[in-house]
Order: sequence, then structure tokens, then C-alpha cells
Amino acid sequence: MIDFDAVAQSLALLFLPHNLTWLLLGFAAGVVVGAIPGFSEGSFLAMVLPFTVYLDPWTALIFMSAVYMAAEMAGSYPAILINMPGTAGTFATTIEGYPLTRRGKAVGALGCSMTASLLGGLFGSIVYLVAGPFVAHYALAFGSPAMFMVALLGVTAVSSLSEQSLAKGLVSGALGLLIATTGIDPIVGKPRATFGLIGLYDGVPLIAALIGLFGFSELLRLAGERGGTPGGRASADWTSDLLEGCRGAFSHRWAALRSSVIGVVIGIIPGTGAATASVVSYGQGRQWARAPRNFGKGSYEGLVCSDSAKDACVPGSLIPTLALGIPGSGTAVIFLAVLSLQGMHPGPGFWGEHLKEAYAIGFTFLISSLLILLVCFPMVRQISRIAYIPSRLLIPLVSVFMFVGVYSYRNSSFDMFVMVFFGALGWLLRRHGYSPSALLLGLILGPMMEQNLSRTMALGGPQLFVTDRVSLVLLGCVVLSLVAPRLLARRTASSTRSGNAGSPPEAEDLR
Amino acid sequence: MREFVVPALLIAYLAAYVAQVRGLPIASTLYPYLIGGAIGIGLVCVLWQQARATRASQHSGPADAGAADGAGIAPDSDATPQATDTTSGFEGNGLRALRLPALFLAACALYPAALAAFGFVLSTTALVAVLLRAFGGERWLRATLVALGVAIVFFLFVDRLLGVPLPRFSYAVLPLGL
Repeated sequence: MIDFDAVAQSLALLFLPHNLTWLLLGFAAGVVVGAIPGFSEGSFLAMVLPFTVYLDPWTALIFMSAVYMAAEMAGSYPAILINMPGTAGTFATTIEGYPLTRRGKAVGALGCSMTASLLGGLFGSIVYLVAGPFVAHYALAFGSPAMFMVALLGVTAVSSLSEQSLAKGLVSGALGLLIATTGIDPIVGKPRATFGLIGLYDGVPLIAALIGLFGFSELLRLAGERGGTPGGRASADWTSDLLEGCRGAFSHRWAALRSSVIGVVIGIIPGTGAATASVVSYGQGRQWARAPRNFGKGSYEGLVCSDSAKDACVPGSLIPTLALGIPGSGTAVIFLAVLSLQGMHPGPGFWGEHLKEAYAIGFTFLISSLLILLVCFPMVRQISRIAYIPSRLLIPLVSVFMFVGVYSYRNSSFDMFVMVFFGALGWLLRRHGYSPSALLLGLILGPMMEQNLSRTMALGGPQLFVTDRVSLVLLGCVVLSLVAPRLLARRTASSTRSGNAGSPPEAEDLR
Repeated sequence: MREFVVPALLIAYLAAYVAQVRGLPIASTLYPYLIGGAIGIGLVCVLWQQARATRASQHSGPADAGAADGAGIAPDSDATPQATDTTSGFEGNGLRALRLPALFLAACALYPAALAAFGFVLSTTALVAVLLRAFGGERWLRATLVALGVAIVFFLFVDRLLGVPLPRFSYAVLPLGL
């Protein structure tokens, strides 16, 4: 179990003045990086990677851990305020956060998001510290069939996202899966569905598509609505809004706990990340919710599901990175690079050899989560003002912001065209009742699904989906996730017809 | 006719996709064909639902027509009160309401091309000035000055501070015969 000597030594290491300074600098940099749409923590960490060789290895890792945690948390700000996901893990946050902002509840949404991030981050950090070395070995139980089922489970969350038209939700999700096949074919190495565009050989750039589908399409909508602000009318009493948001998060503490567990587990599974964690958790949250129809309209519960999971995923993703040498997420790859640059080799013996340092990383996550309370909560009113900038100023400024963010990711003008294309597509889909969220979900999970399907076929054929125990359990969850919402909806409809209709369900349930 | 827009576009995309991947071995096309088949089945369901909703609205009269239309709208179609108002605004004003989104889309589609030729500062100044003029009704001189300021601030922050190289003005675009 926990080695308390190592814990004490790790805290002593962490509280050395220069380490603490780098932790605070990392947190500040992470908040800025997360709040800039398109400018992911991964690209920032990649940019500063060459400079980390001049730092003590553990100072570098403490700095990077603080950036990672803070950026994931701050990615929710633009998602909530201007419908523009700051990081890939925050697209489910836009679904619930932005409608709250549109109702003048930007401060409440931020308060709820920060509380959920705090809970998720604390849970993830504690799991990392207590169970990290042991849990990592169970991640190996997830073979290709199980990984395919994880992706499929994420896609069946599409049905949850599109409550009233399952068909439109599934069409949108499948379209995302099909678009995700664009690029060099993994089997024969030839371009597939690239339509002669060299820029698509590496596949559709996810960040550009994400910002286009959510941010750019929102600007198009605002452009058709002369005047006004994204945030509607600001509430005068911001403290009560903030408290309402925090209460909203605490009143869904079980949803937060469940989402945190999902976040940590998905973080531990190699090759996934915060985007998958938040999507799967959001989909599951809707199925377990008392009032699932409020999801998608600005529900605190939905916001809790998304934000707890993505922040709990951060410490989880470092568990396999350090214990197995397999990155738990895209950003964790940079951690592996730093360790390699410093001449260290993560693997099964890593926790034994560097226990003190591994704990120091865990405590960095813990302290970064607590810094949300000290730094971000007092600034919530200032942050929320973004939502009340008039559209006539917001549209030009945010346009440039998005273009710069998309360009900076790969230094590619082509990505900007992709963003505009997906913006127009998202706007069109939304106007016709289709689901841009489902499309994006397909885009995110598509490569993982295809890769694991091919691998399963090569390993032993489709029967592996039912002979592999983990896969079988997940298959059951997939079937349940498709059938359960329909049954629940029917039950709700029949109870409404029998006389329960008329009372406004949303007001209380949205809390 | 409005409900056929997305299905028609999707069918066109599927047809173009099939034309693109023809000739590739089955191992690399099986998965996309399965997904394409799922889209096809989904579209048939969508069209069937829409036909049923239209029939229901014709039978039950204008009062229920709205409810029938709403049957196919997903929750993340921005079902907030304001968004619903906006949608109705679009319907009411027709093409006129689409003028500004179309202008915005055109300006943004031209911007990446302009960026490569004219560099970040000039292209961004032009984009922001046009948008400020279109959405805020600013006078050209003021809009241009504000836009120039915005472009320079962004350039300094991203290019100089963050170290992300933004495109520079290229003299090759000038007709100097160089």
C-alpha cells in the first residue's frame, strides 16, 4: 500500500521553492493555454519540450503536470462562454454549458464546471496516488475487442444525445465515423477518400473540425442574429448564480463520482484521453439521469458528468504512461518524450525505482485541483464577462482568435479551410435537426474503432467480441445504452399521459 | 423540400466516397462500406419519420403541425428559448436573414488564401475591418484602424511571445516582375 516515507519525501521535493514556483507557473500557463481554443496543452507542452532539458527532470515533470491539469480544466471556459471547446475533452461541456450561458447563467455554469473539475481532479489524483501501480496492470486486460466496444459504447451515446430523433443522431454519428476514415489507409497505405487533397492524407485535422463544428458554426448563427450577446441578459446577482452552480454540482455528487470513475478508467486505458472520457461519461450520465430530456438544454448534471470525467482522466492517463510506458492519452506522449530526453525509462519497475518522484507528480495534480478553488473561483465574474461582449465585436475578434488557434496547431493554412468547411456543415446540420456533437463523436472515436476492428479480425475473427469477457460486458452495455433510453422515454410518456403532465419539470431538474 | 437538403448532400457524399475508394482492396473498404450502409439505413428512417410527421400534420390540422415538425429536432439543435426565436427569425426573414452569415462565410473562406499571399497582419486587418463594418456599422477609417491594432496585438502575442511563426507578407504577390 502507500509508502508514507516516500509520501513525506515527495512532499518535501514538491515544496522546494523552485519546484513550487514552477508548479504555480505551470498552473498559470495551463489556464491561459486551455482558455485559448485550438491551442491545446499538447501543442504547448511540445513547444516547451526543448526547454525542459535545462530543468531538473522532476521539476520539468511537475511543471508539465500542472500545465496539463490546469489546461484541461480551463478548456471549459470558452466551451461554456462562447460555445468553442478549448480542448478536445470539452466538447460535451459545450452541449450543456453554452445553453446555460444563453440563459444568462454563465457564472453558474462556470461555478458548476469548476466544482466538477475540482471533484474529478481530486478523485483522479487520489486514485493515482493510492492505486496507481496496481491499477495499471489491469489496463492490459483491455484487448482489441474490448477497445472496439469502448468506442462503440461511445458512439451509442449518440442515441442519448439525440433524444427525439435517434435516426438523425445515428446518421450524424455514422457520418463522423465515415469522415474519420479519410486519409492514408492503414492497411494498404494508399490515400482513401481524400478527394485529391494532400492536406487530408493525415486524416481530417481534429482540432480544426472541432472548432469549426462548435465555434465557427456558432459565429455563423450569431451573424444571422444582428445585435445581442451570446450570454443573453447578464444576471445582476452573480454570487447567488455562482452558489447555484456550485450547489448544482454538489447536488449531483453521485453523478460526479460515477463520471470520475469513468474518467480514471478511460484515462488508464492506453490510447484514449479526455475527449473519450467526457463523451462516454456524458452519454452514461444521460442514461442514469432522473430527467434525461433536460440534457442538451443546459443541465448542471450533464455539465458535471463531462467535466468531472475529463479532469479525473488527467491523472489516470499518467498511470499507464509511467507504469507500462504506454501513453494513456495524446498529451501523455509528451511526458514519455520528456522522460526519454532525461534518460529515464518508464515501465513496470518505474514506480519502485522512482516512487518519491511519481508521488510528487500525483501531489502536483492534487494541488493544481485545489488551486482552482484559490485562483479560479475568485476570478469567475471577470471570466464570465466574455459572454456579454456584443456580437458586433465578438464576431471579428473571436474569428481571428479561432483562425490563429487552428493555424498554430500545425502551422497549416489548409486547416483553416477545414475549420470553415466544418463550421458551415455544423450550422447546416443544426438548422435541420441533426447533431454536430454526434458527428464529432464519430470523428474522435472513428480511428480507434477501425484500428481495433481490423486487429480483432486479424487476431481471431468476430467471435472474439463475445469470447473476450471484458468485450462481452461492454457489448451488454452497448445494447443497454441503445434500448434503455427508449424504454425510459416510453415509461415517461405513458406516465405523462396518465396525468403527470403540466407541471414544469425543467425548473427543478435542470439544477 | 427543406427536409431533403441534408439527405441529398449525404447521398452525394456517399456516391463521391464510393467513386474515390473504388479499386482499393476489400480489406480497406469493408469498414467504410459498413458505415456507409448504416448511414443509408439511417437516412431511410429519417425520411420515413419525416413523411409520417407530414402526414400526421396534414391529418390533424395546423394546430398540431408545429408539434409534428418538432418531432425530428434533436436537443442539441439549440433548443433554448432564444435559439428557437432565432430559428423562427430566419424563417421569417428568409434570404435577407442569410445575407450576413453568407458574407461572414465568404470573408472567412477567403481569409486563409489571403493569409498565404499577403501575410498575417494585412489579411487580418482586412478581415476584421470588413467584419466590423458589416456587423458594427463602423466607418471604414475607424474600422481599419481598430483592425490594424487587433492584427498587431495578435501578431505580437502569437508570433513573438508564443513563438508560433505566422505567415509574413510575400513580395512575390506584387506585380514587380521580380
